[in-house]
Amino acid sequence: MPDWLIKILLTVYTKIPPALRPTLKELFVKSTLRVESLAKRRQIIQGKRVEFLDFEIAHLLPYELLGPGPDEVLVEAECSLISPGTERAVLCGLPGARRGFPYIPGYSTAGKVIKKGKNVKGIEIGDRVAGRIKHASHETALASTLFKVPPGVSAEEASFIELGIIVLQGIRKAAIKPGERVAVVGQGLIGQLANRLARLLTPASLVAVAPSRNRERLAVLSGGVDQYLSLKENQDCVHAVKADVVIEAVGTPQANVTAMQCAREGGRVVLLGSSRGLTRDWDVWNVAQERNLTIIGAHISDMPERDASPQRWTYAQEGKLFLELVETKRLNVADLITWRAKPEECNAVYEVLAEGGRDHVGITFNWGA
Amino acid sequence: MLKLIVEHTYPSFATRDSSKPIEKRDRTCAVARVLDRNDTSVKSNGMPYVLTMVDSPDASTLWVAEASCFPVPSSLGAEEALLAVPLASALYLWDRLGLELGEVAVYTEGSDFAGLIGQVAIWRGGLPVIRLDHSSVEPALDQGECLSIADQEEALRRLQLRIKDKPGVAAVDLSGRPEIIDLILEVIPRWGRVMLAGRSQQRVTVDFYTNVHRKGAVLLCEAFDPLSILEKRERASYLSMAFRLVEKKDIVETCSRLVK
Amino acid sequence: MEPLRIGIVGAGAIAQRNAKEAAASGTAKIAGVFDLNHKVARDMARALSAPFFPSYESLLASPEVEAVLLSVPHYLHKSMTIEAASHGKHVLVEKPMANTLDEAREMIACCEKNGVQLTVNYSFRYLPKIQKARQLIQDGAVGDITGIQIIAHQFKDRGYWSGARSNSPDDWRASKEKCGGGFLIMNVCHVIDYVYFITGLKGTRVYSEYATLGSPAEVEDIISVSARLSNGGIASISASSIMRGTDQAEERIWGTKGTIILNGEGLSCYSTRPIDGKRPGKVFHYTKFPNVSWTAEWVKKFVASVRQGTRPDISSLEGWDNLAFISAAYQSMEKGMPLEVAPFPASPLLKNETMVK
Repeated sequence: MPDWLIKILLTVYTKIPPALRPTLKELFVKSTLRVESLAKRRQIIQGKRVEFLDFEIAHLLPYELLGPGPDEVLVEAECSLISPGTERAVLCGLPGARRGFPYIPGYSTAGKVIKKGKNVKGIEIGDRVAGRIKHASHETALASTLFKVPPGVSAEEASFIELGIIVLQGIRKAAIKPGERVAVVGQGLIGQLANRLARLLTPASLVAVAPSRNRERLAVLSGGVDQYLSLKENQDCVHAVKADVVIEAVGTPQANVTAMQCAREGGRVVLLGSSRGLTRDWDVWNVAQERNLTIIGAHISDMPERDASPQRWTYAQEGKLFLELVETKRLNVADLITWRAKPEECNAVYEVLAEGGRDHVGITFNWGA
Repeated sequence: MLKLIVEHTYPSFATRDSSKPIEKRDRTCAVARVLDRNDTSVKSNGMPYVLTMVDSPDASTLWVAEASCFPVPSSLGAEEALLAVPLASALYLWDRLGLELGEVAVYTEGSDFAGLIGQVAIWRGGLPVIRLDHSSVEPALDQGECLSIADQEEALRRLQLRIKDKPGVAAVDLSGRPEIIDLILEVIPRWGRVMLAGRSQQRVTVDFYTNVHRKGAVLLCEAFDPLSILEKRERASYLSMAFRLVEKKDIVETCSRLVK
Repeated sequence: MEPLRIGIVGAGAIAQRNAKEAAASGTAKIAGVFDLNHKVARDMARALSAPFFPSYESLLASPEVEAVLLSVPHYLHKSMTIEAASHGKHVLVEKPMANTLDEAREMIACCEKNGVQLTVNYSFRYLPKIQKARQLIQDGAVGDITGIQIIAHQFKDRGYWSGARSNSPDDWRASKEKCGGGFLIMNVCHVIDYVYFITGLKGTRVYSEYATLGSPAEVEDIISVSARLSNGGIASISASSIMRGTDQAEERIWGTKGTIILNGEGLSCYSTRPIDGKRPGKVFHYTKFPNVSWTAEWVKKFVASVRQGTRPDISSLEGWDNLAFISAAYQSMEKGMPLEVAPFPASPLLKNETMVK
């Protein structure tokens, strides 16, 4: 839609009494979708999706979408994984994540292709795919952005795709060598995936550092950490960790410093968690310079769009690798799921998440159930 | 252990660095002759002189472990040999930052060796090589640029413009000052590399999320010490490179001008 | 009148507003901007065509700066005011004046000692609606005041407590030590101030109950205060930042001859007297008020007092009275008994010295 038209519509919209606005907006969206459907000759599909209606309010609502465009496929979701950090930040309006409501969450989903556009090659109807798709029963996506799920990988496992890529790019930057001592600060989903992926590189020791013991049970499962330290019990335990490599997976400004404190002299610290906000009063000399630390930023947007280089693989390459690791049983992720929720339960799920998630790690919506 | 007689030291190196603990402040490097039991000069690895660290610029005769001595090529005079030490440290610094041909190299005021560090960036092919400085009297290096940070706002704008469209940026802060560190972190693009090499006396507020995490930046926290290369594992290769460089007359001239 | 050259300290959302309004007042010139978050300070300095200062010390050292406007977390008010006063700079500080009365006393003493003026941002007083209410009461619309009721309820989302609305996110608002308290000291303090202003009364004895029941914070998110007023009347405050979906904000002031109600719709007045040319015995609504920048008014009045050497309109006295009420309210629950509200110190300088001894 051109800017001038949006401007006019917005001006008109603000003139309408607030009580009438939602109904009129819905009517407008529905009618434009129908016009678009006729013009593009694309069928209207009925689906359901999770919406954040306001701070700490999630609800499952019916919605309509157009069938796939020429380069797209229509995916019927089987399983979608909650990205706890990002989704909680938006739901609660935390710093750096203020979005308007309603907001449609989700970006890590696996499902089946039930319709495809005419230009799509390499993906057929009935194929199982995974990728950056919202928490929705049905969604269209560009075929080129999706990954085909290998046989032997379940929909639940495949729904870890986006989170897997996020953690893989961080672990790659950490360049862990066999025999190194590794610490993972933060034991939410990102932290626990980092445990598992770091384990693949044969560290001499793998230590989890977390605010509490809430997530210890899962962290020490096979493929997880050797030792679990709780900051609640001993704030000073960080100084004894002396890891060669520290993965920061909490995502708070203070956790950046905690991670640095866990590193040995000359150690590397990978900032994998999204610490929205400022780290204040960082004592650069005592925490970092005197101990010659290397601090490495690792966010999914740092990945090159194409042409990989050492320690910098593309999104597509990391995604393919993730599924391969699961397929070959090198990596187990299914046991990180602590709550297999029905989409209808989303209000309760996000209520728990808003409060901090209790001892949950992986939460999925199972759409097929 | 080798018995050494010190011939030349660089007292100025050590005394300038007031940030070091007092007991280490007098520590400096020296060019010394190796003596045998009868106090006659002998050669170490075929060289009559070695480089070593000494506890005081006034040291004369001392015993040092052979592993802590580095033979000086016979083609070099004592002055060149001493000059090779900060040069090797500067080579090490840019190597850590992985500066490549054609990448932007940014360095700052705040060290007596800033000029030398900038020069090494030029020798590594940095383009442009930009010095951030408060004073406008500091002459830019030949092939280098100088950007005034007297007006932070203007400096930020100009630096952003200069860096735009460049494939890579490596920067070293030698000042340790929060506002300069902030400027550098703000300006580096995706995949930028930064060394915090100036000893920070103050605490710093950093937006790690925006400027490190999301940019995929690498932050090396290591205060620059012109002599520390002698105590690093990698010293042999860096000193060898530096020795080869100071054999060239023009390079010696440039280095001694920049280090004075 | 020569404009006052003000250094802006803090570049958060409120600071941005304050600076813009100060500049627009026509009586101030922005002489510099400082914030620990250099990026936002630089951006703000550019927007205001003012120089950026990388440290508070450098801003205070500038001869171009005559006064500072502090919009920083509460716990910094004292130290930053004292530093500024010691450099001979006048101080405009955000509300509340400080976190404790001891801090406020030191601030007042230091400003007195250095001969600089101090004002606290209780500028809502300059809202035409508030001025009108004061006028009505002075004209006798309610007679002798017998009761005051303040109701203030809203919802502060989780992001608020981690500073999500700010351009320099920080969780200081959730900290008792840094913020001094919760909804009462942070928000309701404004209402207490203008009710004092409208009525000319003060609280003399208070008792409160407060708690944190629904926020990720140490400070209170719900509070109820009962107070005796200086004329013997009774006041009550019911406030919380955890009421979802149905905000409420209203003040009622009533007396022997009538009632005034202030809320989002404006001002309503019932009087048994023919006030303001209206018929007695009927409720009148005042809903249209001119747009006035209350912050600009505050700055304008302060500049006049600096230039003329008179006591500021909203001085440390007003700042003190407000904080004294709030402090007593908090302490009363902690001690489990009603407490007297501390009067303004006769001579803070003297008191301070006595304390040192």
